[in-house]
Amino acid sequence: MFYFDPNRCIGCHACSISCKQRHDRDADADDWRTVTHLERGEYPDFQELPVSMSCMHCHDAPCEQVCPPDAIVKREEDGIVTVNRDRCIGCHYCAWACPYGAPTYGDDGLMSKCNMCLGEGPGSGHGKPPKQKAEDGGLKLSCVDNCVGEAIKAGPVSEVMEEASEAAARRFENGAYNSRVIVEPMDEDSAAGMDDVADASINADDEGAAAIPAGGSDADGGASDWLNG
Amino acid sequence: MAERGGGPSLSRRSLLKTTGAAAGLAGLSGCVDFIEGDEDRDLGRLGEAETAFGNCWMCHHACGQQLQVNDGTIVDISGVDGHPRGSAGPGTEGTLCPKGLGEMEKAHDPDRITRPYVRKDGELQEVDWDEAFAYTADKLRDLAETHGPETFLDASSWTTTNLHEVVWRDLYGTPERIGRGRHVCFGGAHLSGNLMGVGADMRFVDYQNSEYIIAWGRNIFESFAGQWEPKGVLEALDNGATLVVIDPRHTPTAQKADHWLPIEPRTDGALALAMAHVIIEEGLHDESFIEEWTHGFEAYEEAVADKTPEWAAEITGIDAELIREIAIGFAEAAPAAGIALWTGVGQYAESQKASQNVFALNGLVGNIDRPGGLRLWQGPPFSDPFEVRDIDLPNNAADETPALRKYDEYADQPYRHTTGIGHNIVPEMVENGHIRGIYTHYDNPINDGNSEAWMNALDEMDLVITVDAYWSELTRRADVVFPEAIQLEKDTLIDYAPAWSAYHDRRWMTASEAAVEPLGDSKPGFQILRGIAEEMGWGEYIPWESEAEYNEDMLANVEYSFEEIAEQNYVILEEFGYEAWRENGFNTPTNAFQFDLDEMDAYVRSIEEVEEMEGVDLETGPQWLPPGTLGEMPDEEYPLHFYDTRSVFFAFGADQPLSQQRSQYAARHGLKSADYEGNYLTINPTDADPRGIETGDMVTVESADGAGELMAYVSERTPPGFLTAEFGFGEGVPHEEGFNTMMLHTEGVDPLSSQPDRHIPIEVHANGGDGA
Amino acid sequence: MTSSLIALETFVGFRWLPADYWDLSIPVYLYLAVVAGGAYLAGASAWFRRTLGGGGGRLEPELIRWGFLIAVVSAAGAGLAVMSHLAVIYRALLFPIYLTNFSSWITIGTWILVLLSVIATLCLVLALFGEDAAGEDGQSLWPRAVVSKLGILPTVDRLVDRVRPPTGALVALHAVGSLFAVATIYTGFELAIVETVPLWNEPVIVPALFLTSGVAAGVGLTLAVSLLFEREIGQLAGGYAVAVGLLSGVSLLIAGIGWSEIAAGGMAANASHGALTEGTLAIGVLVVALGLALPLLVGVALGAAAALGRLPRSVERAGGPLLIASFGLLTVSGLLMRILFLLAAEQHPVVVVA
Repeated sequence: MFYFDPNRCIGCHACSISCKQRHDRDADADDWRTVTHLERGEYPDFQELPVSMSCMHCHDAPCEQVCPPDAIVKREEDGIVTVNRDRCIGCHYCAWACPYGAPTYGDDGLMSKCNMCLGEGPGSGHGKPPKQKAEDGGLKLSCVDNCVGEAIKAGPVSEVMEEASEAAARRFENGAYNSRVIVEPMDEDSAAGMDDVADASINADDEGAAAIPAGGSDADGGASDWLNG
Repeated sequence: MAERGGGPSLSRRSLLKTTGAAAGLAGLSGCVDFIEGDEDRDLGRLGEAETAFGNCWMCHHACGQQLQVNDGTIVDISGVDGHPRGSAGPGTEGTLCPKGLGEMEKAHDPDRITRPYVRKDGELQEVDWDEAFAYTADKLRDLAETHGPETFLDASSWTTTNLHEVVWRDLYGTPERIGRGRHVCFGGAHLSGNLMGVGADMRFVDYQNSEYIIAWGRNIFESFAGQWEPKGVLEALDNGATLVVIDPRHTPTAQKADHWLPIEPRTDGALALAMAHVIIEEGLHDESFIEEWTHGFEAYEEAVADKTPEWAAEITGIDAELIREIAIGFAEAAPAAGIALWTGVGQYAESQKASQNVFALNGLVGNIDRPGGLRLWQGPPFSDPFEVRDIDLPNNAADETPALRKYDEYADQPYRHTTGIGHNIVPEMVENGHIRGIYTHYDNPINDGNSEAWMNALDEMDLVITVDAYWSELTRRADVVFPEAIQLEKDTLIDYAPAWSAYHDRRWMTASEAAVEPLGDSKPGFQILRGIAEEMGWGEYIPWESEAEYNEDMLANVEYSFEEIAEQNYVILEEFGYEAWRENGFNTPTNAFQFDLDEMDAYVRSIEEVEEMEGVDLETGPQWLPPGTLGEMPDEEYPLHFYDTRSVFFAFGADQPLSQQRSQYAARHGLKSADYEGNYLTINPTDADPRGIETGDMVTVESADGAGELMAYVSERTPPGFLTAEFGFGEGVPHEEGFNTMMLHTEGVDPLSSQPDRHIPIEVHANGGDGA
Repeated sequence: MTSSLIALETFVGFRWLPADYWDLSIPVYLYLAVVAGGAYLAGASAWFRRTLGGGGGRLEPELIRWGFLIAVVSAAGAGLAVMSHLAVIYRALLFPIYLTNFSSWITIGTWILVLLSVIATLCLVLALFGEDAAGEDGQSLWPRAVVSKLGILPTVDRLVDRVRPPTGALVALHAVGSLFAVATIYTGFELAIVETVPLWNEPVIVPALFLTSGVAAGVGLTLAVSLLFEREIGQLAGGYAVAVGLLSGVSLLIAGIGWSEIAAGGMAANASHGALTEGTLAIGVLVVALGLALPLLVGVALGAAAALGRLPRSVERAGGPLLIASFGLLTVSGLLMRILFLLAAEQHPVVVVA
């Protein structure tokens, strides 16, 4: 599972580049690890938060469920979701199913995505031995290795939880993001904080907004995905 | 040996089968990073790679790099744990920012120049090194005979070797030298720092010990001199430090700040004076330090007597109460309080005075060379290899006066008293025949100011020698193009400012041997300069066969050999204490930190000339100079402000050729799918909407002196009326897509330092038609 | 508990996903599959009427043959459309080996479509050839002419008669085929299970809508083609017209319910709704609505009149073209509807609550 701390992320995209280079992928190919800069507010009440995302290797991987040729597998041994490009038919169903936009497609039409550096290159790691710790010879995750702010971590849930703050752990346990990733809340002291969440350019009666504060159990699937899913 | 760190294994929740899994493979513990050649593990290229080191030379702050090299090809790159520049200090992760990661691409970039070229019959032609050196020597001798070596300008910038000083100044005999900091980077502030007695250290803070950090005209989380900076600030924040950002724009640093002061552009000087006013009023200044170790406090006190926060609020747009709060917070935290200042208060015409006002605050609260404050960093005791070998170097430029001071034509350049040359005036010097040749080395003057004139000047010059990696308007106009190897291909001992780092009280050194062979026929700069020298008959003065040998001599006074350092990539040396001034005083005529520069004769002369030229009253002490006193103001025709900026993806114009960085730079703006990889004009919707401009539209930006096209990025991160674009793109530099921001001006400078004034009045309009 | 958490939150951001992973070949595929189902049902129902009800008239056998023919062509078209989208076609062709995930509606759907195609082809062949068919006439028999040109018509007739199973088996065959025809509702499930797209993620509305609109189109197309050549609008035609009209009406109703759901939904639903109310997509929506409303009116009114034998002579002459035109529009609008489903699709943004 991945962990992300937006307080430490400086939005430098080192993770995106590091991943691309580790897996020998061209610059114009789609990123397996994306960095998005989310802007809110009007100058000077402005905030811009960078977010780094990749495949979350979800415990309930929707991609695995919909893949017709069973090319996508969440491995028993180490929980990494891999793709077998010898079976992939390039139907793109997994891209629709994924709540994080993780699958990417190359010129060959086949799917590839983050494999937690189980191997090198698209589709690598499929069917291979379990992921090893770095000290046992396993590849350290490239994005984790080169994150300037040390904002990205990965590992078994128990280990990652130890590194997370109480607040992050608490809302993870409450079901934030369907328990697929741990994300730190923003530091209270950050500048230009927006005190009124409901005001955040979402209509108050919008189900998406309603999904976020208390009781976000709406049927609005993904929008409430962050909590209670 | 740098470790890759103990990453966690990855098993599904508590179904921790690592024991079973580990048993499945031989337990390779210890320093082995990868299972060699185990195809079963899908580690094709990495499985058989060997580890090597490098020192990143993209922004030239030498973060340690760890490379995996597979049969001469770099297949992976990452940081070095514990590295002074590339980590947060002992026992911490080493990482690499996008630029550092890009060196992997640069090492194998087919677009690099790989053979020497010389101009024959008007055309650049490929030649071998011998011919290139012979040609160069001939031309140099011609120039020396016909016009004199003093007409040759050494414009080396980011060289990994300092040999150019010896070759051009001592041996060839030219006094003409143009560098970075004073001339094009942050001239005003550079001058202030030097004159006041703190040198160039005022850009950084002793972060990890600091309780109060002000990033003033600095975007530390994006433009950092080594990753130790963002990591250090993050650590400080974790320890409860307060971060204040003073910047007209919202930046990644502002995002993490406790207070972001969206200051009216070019009013920094007013804010600084008001803060001083508050600090003195509250009695929070360091009286003993001021009394014993500063000069000119009376002038300072007088200057700020009437500069209330209310007065400053009118000018800066910052709430008076907030000004008070910041001033008090800063002073109370002092000496564990620091100000990091750089290009934001270094590239407009009034920035010398503005930065003087800011730096004065350091002396006021007594944070200089105290923990958490303005650290006076110290580097290792490098030796001069020429001294080590007892080489009797001639000093052929000793009797030469730089043209700027020699000729009357430049009597209207006030900065000539404090600095020997100015970037924007060189084209005129070429026209006057005072500069006829140039040596550029990892430097592109077309990038830095007065671009159109510079290109013409390069055409006019008799001899243009370039040492470069990429084709551009500079290299295409050269008479000689020497392809240099990049840092990863050289034996490098970092001797450029190995001072500031994550080790706040330790000297250190970093070095690396060549990780891969130079691409094609390229050579290290050391060999290029040596080759020129030999051909000129100066071989006896440069006896070292290799750069490694030369580096070895630099280490004469150090317990480590070059190889020993390179093997580990870095070594930490002895401690150095704080408060160095107790022993050594300050490097000023008064031996004190100078609020008032009245004792600096050269400066005084500059001031007097500017007063006459501009019809203004200037003080030698801190003073408020409103925007437009020396610089330009918008008018009806050009109603908007323009300033250029940096980004985390590029250093100068050198890295724009690299595809991964360009691609992510576009992704950062949400424009990865647009068929455009140039720079962006960041514009507030208040200015964009009436002009019908949307993100992704191509727009034309225009000033009184120039115009050009680039893509618009509409965002609330910049204030209304203040537009910015990244520099290092467009005509003149290797990646020509986008717009060279320095086409927008000609000779405008900060008259006190020579820094090109990059704050320019403009207008912008949509191009019509579809965006790219 | 959650509200105290929210007090700490100071940033809410939305990271939208591309939602652009399919091209127009997919709506074509989704549509033609159900059109095939509808056409099959038209043919099979006519077949049942003839076989079990001993019906008569010129229209019935035409409906049977056109129905099965359109079913086969549609199904083939659906197959070609979806394969044109895939990266590795041979893996789809070898689907029994490759498509092993029966939790995936694409796998389920592949089997349904293939089996429907096979059964429809069988039914078509049985309807086109044999001694009985040899003695009939009607435009729908044109494949016989093609086979005749190949010089093997008598052989084919004899062969088909020889292998023709007894009526009981035939009834079973057509019944099973009808089930598979209805099973083309899978196309709706293929979209409905995508939880990231609120426009699609309606487990009842979308499948039901796809089925009713697709079957309406299939039946309507069959009737329209048949009427092209058999101009008389008798009771049978009227009955089918009413059926098509009612199905269109039901589709319109379901679509309306779905529309109000989207309008009142969260961010992504809002975005889809917004897309459908602007520019070309809004025009598409109008065409689709019209394409359902017109057949409803014409089909029910004209059809009922014809079924009850009350169609005035004067209207009858115009009735054919009118039915053909409105059912033609129905066919177009059905495809347009699927295209709108694709073009207006928006995925839930990743909600970054930091």
